[in-house]
Amino acid sequence: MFKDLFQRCFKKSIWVYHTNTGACNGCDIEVINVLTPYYDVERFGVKLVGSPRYADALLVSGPVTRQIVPALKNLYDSVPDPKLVIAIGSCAAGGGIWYDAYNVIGGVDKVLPVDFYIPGCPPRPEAIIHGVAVALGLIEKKVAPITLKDEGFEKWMKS
Amino acid sequence: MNSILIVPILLPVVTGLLCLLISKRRILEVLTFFGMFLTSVAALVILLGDSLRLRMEWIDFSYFRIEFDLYAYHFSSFILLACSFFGLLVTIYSLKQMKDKDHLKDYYCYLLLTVGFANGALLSNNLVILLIFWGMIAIMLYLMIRSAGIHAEKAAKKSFIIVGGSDFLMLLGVVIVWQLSGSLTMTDMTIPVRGGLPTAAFILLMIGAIAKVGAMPFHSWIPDAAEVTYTPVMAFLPAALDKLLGIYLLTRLTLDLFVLDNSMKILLMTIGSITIIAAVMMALIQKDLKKLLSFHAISQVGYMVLGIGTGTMVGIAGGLFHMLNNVIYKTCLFLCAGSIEHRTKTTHLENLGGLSKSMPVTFIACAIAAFSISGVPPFNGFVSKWMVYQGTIEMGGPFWPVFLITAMFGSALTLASFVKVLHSVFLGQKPKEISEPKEVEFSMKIPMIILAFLCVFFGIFAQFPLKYVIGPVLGQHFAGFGEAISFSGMWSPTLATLLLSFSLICGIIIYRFGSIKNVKDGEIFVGGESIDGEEVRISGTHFYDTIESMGFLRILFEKGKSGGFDIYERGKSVLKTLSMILYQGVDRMIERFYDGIQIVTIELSQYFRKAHTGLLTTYFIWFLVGITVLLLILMK
Amino acid sequence: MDEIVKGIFYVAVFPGLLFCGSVGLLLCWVDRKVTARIQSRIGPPWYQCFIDIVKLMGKTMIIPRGSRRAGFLLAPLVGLAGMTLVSTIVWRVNIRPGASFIGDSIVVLYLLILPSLALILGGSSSKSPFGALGTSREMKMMLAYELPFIIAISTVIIKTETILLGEIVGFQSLHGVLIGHPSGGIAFIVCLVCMQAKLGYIPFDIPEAETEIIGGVLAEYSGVSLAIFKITNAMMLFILPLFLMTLFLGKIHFNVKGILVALVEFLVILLLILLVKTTHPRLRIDQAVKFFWWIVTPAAVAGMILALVGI
Repeated sequence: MFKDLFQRCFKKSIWVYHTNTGACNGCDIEVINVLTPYYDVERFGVKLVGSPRYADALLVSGPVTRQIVPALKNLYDSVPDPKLVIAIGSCAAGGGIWYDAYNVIGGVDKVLPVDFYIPGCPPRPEAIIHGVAVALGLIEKKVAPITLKDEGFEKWMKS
Repeated sequence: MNSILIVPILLPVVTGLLCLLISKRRILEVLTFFGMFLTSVAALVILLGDSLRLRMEWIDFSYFRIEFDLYAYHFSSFILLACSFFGLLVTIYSLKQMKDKDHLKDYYCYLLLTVGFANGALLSNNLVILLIFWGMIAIMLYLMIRSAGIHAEKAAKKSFIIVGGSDFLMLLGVVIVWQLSGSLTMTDMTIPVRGGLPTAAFILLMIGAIAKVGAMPFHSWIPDAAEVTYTPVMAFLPAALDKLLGIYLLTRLTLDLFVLDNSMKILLMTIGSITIIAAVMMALIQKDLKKLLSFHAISQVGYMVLGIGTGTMVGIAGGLFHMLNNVIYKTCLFLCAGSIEHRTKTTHLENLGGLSKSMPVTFIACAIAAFSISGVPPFNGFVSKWMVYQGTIEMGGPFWPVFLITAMFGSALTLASFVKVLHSVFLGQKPKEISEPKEVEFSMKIPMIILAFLCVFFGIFAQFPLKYVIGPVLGQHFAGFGEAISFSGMWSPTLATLLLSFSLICGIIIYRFGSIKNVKDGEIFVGGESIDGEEVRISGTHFYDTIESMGFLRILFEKGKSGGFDIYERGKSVLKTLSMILYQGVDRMIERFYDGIQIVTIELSQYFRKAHTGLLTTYFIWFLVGITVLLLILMK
Repeated sequence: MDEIVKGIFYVAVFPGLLFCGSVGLLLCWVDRKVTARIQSRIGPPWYQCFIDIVKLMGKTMIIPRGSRRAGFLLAPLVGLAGMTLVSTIVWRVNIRPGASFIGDSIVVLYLLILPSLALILGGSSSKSPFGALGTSREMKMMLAYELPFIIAISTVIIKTETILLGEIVGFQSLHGVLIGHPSGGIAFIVCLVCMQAKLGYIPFDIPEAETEIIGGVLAEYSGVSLAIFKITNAMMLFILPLFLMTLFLGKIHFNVKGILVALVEFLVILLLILLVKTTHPRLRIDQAVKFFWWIVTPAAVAGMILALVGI
């Protein structure tokens, strides 16, 4: 009985902890924008907290550099269960432009189990809110994954 | 039956002297233990009986009589029991703590002698006998502090000078009292403090009590002694014995011997308030555990003096109860410090930390005593402090808010200081230098556990000590104490504790609701780095650097640390100046006077020398003149 | 025995844990809503704080390895216990002024130390350096605001010549509310500033500085223990303005007009606290101590002198 209550309450009050694993700060600025009055997410119960121990969700931005991997794992262990990991930006989703650089692991999902990806470089605050709303189950997912085919290149090759 | 009064005095003294003859450690320990134990039994017997009095003629001239007068009524017999009981506890504790120190027989001998003389002072009803025992205790104080070795010499000397000097002032006071009332028996006199001479007598006697107890400005011997001497000595002497004796004397003075008027009460209350605040601010910045505890001992004395100075029923009861409580938790704290020193060989707060896991019993006893001393409800410190506040408010008179505020703020500062102690020593992280210490042995644990238990017991069931012990003392002077203490309209600690524990249970229920079962272990979070414990260790010694370096307070602290407020240092410099003046003004003057005589004599003799020419004719003329003068005189 | 059962009922349900806890959490929502409105945004819905507590209770607790487990878990309970007792006492005095006992204002003062003590113990017990820093800051904060607070309460005691809370309330029915007199007014303002520090609100939330020392005292707390700390804070938010009202604004009359007046007074005090919270930055610890000791304390002393003189 209590578990059920807890599940319902968990969705309505998610506290986030934001971390930057080598990003250019573009995504960080957009995240902060989300938390400001214009795009107010506190009406969904989302709050920014200062310690990972209080957090329910980790917002990770940036392609994961080599140096930060142990710290990131430490951080993940410090967040109590149940937790979500949300990767913000293209860099966090799959490495972005830096996916094959020598000092970058390439994407958060190589280190932590990610629950939600919010792609974009940087993603607009609306996109972030959309992602959070999907995560909370407030709306349906609107976009389905598509595989990219490089049609233009093949055409050029044939010509 | 009356002669049982001799037992608590003679038995420890004889046992103590016997100890000097024995050198095997085991026999020594057994002998001391039994000596103390039998003394406590005797004290218990005296307590349970009615008032006893023993009088013997000692010195009897026609104009001057001193009786050897011992009187045990409820107050003195209760403190007698407390004294012997704490002696017993300290003995049990020292069995293990002092195991490897040398000169053990001296130490036990002094311990027993001190208890014997203290019992004598408590029981004595004649002022001169009191003085004799008081002085002997001062000597014992010197010897006990000195027994720690040659490095304790300076501190021992200082204690003796301050306490012994106050003894001398007490002697003066006794003489004035004899002049005023014609008798030396304490139960027979009531002197109203009005006018010059009674005031002087009261102040002199009060100085004797206050120097022993350690209130300002006679406090400086306690921290110095704390640094150098053995911890059981500290636990016994300044914590337990001196407080009991000094406050006993102060109470007898204010209740029995003198009838105070307002100015004296205000003097007492001022001394109390200043002691509270100044001592606890010095304690905030200390870095050594024993010195810190000794400053707190001084500060708590302020509460007792404040309570007694209010003159109201609740206030005096509060002061006395506070004395009792203070002895309990102060001794407990010093014993805990001794345990820590025994196991880790250091008492510097910088080098300690994280001992709560390895020494749990010490930690719990120390925590209980720390909360009691800070006045956290529902422990015993809170009850007695609250009674003192009551008394201050009831007293009215000018300045009462100042006293109230200093007392309450002092309590907050005490809490601050003990938070620092608890954090630095027990909580926090363990430094690498200390290898895993074990818990102390059983015999050292027992006194701590007993005292901590008493703290809790007296806090929750405060009615018992108040009704049975302190009530009768005040019942002589204030009517209606019994009803007021029945707690019908007052704070009832029992009910409060019950409700507090019920709230704790509610909290535990919330814990059960909230999945206390899924608990994980994890590392601390320091920004994701995995840093070793040693690098992130924050000891408590720098907690109050902010306060120490704040403007005006900085100057005060620097002066305090360098001995600016120390009466001994000031006294020493005054004496130096005085001796220089005497040397120049008197000694040199006499020298010059003698030199002057010498010069005059030589001058005169030079002058007469010229008369001795060596010519026979001159001598013949002198001879003729002389004969003529003689003939003339003879013919008159 | 009867008294004990009644006591347990008071503590657990009516003016105790359940009642004050729930109202406190509602007031937490008021806090967040007002903050949101001042920052020109919509705030959370009214049930947000309750949901926060339920969610916290359902999370796992992580206890740092090597910390003193018993102390770590016991600390929140101590704060909760102290706070429930305070709320019981304050409410009982308001409902039935005759039920106050001798010295209960001072007892309340001392019991209010317990929540701060809980924070201190919690911070120390976790092995974390941020906990140690938070502990030292909390202790210094407590030293800072206790002094003017004690002086202000002494002013009230001087003015009403009694220390029973019930009689303080009664005095104000006869002689007009204490705020009306100059000394009472000054004491009220001093108390308000000290309340801000006691509640741990900006500009004095130094021990729990989230952005500075990762939560400070509460750095290693998560799950249920954190929930209990938050409930204690919520109760403090409810009880402390109520205590101020008892001391300075007199009795709550339990008819319609009286309850409305009381509600308005309460909200005004709360609004003052929240306004200061949302419009100020955080102070450093030495600035805070200097502020309390060199500025607020002289003001409180001035109020006390006025009360002694008789104004």
